[in-house]
Amino acid sequence: MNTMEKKIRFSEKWAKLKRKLKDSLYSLKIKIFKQGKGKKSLGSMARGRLIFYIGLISLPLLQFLIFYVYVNFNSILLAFKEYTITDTGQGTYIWVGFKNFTNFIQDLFNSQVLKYAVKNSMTLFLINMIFGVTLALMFSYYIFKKFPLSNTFKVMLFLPSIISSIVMVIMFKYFVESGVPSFFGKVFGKEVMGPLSKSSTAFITIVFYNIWTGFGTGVLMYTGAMSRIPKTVIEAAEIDGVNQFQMFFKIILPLIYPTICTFLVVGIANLFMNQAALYSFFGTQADIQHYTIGYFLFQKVVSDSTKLADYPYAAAAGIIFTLIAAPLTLLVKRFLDKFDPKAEY
Amino acid sequence: MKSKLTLKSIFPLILLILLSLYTISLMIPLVWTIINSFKDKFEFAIDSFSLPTKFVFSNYLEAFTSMSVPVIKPGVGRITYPMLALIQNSLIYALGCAFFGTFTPCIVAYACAKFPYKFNKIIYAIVIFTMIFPIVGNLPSQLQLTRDLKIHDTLIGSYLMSANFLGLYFLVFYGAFKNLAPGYAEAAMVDGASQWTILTKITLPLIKPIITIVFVLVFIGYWNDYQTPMLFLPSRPTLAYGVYYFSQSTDTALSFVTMQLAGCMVVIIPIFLLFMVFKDKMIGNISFGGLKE
Repeated sequence: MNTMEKKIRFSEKWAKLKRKLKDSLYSLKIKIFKQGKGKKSLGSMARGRLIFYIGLISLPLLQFLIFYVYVNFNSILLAFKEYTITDTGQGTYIWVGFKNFTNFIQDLFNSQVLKYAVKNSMTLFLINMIFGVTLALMFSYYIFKKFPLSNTFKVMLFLPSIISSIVMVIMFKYFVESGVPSFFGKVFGKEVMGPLSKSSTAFITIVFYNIWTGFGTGVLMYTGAMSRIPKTVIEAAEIDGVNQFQMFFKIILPLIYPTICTFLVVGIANLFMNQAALYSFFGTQADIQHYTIGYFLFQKVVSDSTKLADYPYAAAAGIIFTLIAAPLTLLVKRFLDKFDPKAEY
Repeated sequence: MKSKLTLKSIFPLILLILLSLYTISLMIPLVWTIINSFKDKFEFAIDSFSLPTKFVFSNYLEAFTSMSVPVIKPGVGRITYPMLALIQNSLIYALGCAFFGTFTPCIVAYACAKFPYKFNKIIYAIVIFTMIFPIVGNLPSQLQLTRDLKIHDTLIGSYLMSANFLGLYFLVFYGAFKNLAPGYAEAAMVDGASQWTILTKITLPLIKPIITIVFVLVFIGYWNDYQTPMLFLPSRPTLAYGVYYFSQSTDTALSFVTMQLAGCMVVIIPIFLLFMVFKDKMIGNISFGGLKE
């Protein structure tokens, strides 16, 4: 009797279990395969949406993983290697630890080239910040307020960003090199050399060129930021009788401070990467005294004498500069945040 | 009460003067280039500042016939690309890269803005991070990668490299999609439209102005850039590279200068035309919230 009961109870339980399993499988099947007649059920619509989403982002993500993540990862690995020719005549990369890094750091303190490069990059950055950003802000304000001839100035400020940099360089180069001396010769009867050929004036000319052509992006961003300020704020200030000078410094600037900060913070990276159009001016033959960090790194990879063996050194140099640039960016951001007037509209 | 004439009150006037000076400083080399591109090369040698006694097209003709870039293709030999071929290369390169460079951030921004998945936060953070974090000097690694993948010196390689969703335009599209009224898409969804239909027939047409502007700006960038195709697509020299190539030529024959100036004009004119058509939409209007209406 006992075993009979046990058998019955067991088979009951088993039947219940099977029933439960079948039911859940069935409802799952309904969820996945239910075809609403013309209407989609919530389940399959959510699934369709997810598949679409994955379809949209998968290829771009793959591209990102390859051309950004892997490239930078490989760059780090490359810096630890050296390219040699083995006995069989095959070229290959072997691991050499920190050799490239120590070589580069030694060069950083000893080689003239790098000393010039760092000094010039910093000079260019500072002058750009002091004159370039200030002027860009003031010009943007002028355009924002639609003062006389704003439309013309809008076009002119943006024009160098639209024209190919190589074309700007060529126009500037030939004008300065042949136009200016001939002009001086005719008007003043003096023989002058073009500023680009004289080593003492060449760098200033390059700096001038960079600022002269660099207003476009700044003006684009600052006018955009200014246009987001609600008109009511400006009108209230005007009713209170502020003049344009006060309006610019006391109202507009604090209100677009975040945009300015973003521009400055991103500008730190530019300090290290800016070729200052040197390649467009001189190809690989720029005077060592005029090197910038960006130009140094670029011509290391691009010159005719570059071999595969030069890649690891360039990669190591890039990494050292990145390790300097990254914390510097953070520091600058912290520093700028301290001065944030936190103006809000 | 009479207003005092202080420095502060003539602030706009000072700016007007500065801006005018800047404009003049920009126009002078530009005009100098234009008039000298139409000037006979011997006249140029004598005096580069006066108006040409006769407008000649010889410089342009010379540019189209003599400005050619030699390329050494391994296994094939030496091919020279005349001006027309350079223009063609520029068009193929710039149009293709602009297409990928516009639509990749566009669709990823659409996915981020309109779909409620947590992964969007990661994508957004990636975009911001890559814009701020300074990575210096990964060019050797990039070159090595394209060689290893056998896409170096191929159009596909250039198109692939331009198909990244990072950068400013992602934020522009993101803002635009976020500001879109959801009503249209929702109505379509209720009517049973598929996601693909909603994207292509409803949402994208709604932001056509922004797509146009971004495409134009990206196209201009690729048309003007000579360094990237120089490094990654050397067997298809572009117009900008051609101009660079000639500017570095050591041949001091004076004819080169006027011819180069003519070549510069050929590079500028299409861009200038595009700019005049779209300029009002570009400046003062693009913000991270999409276009200001």
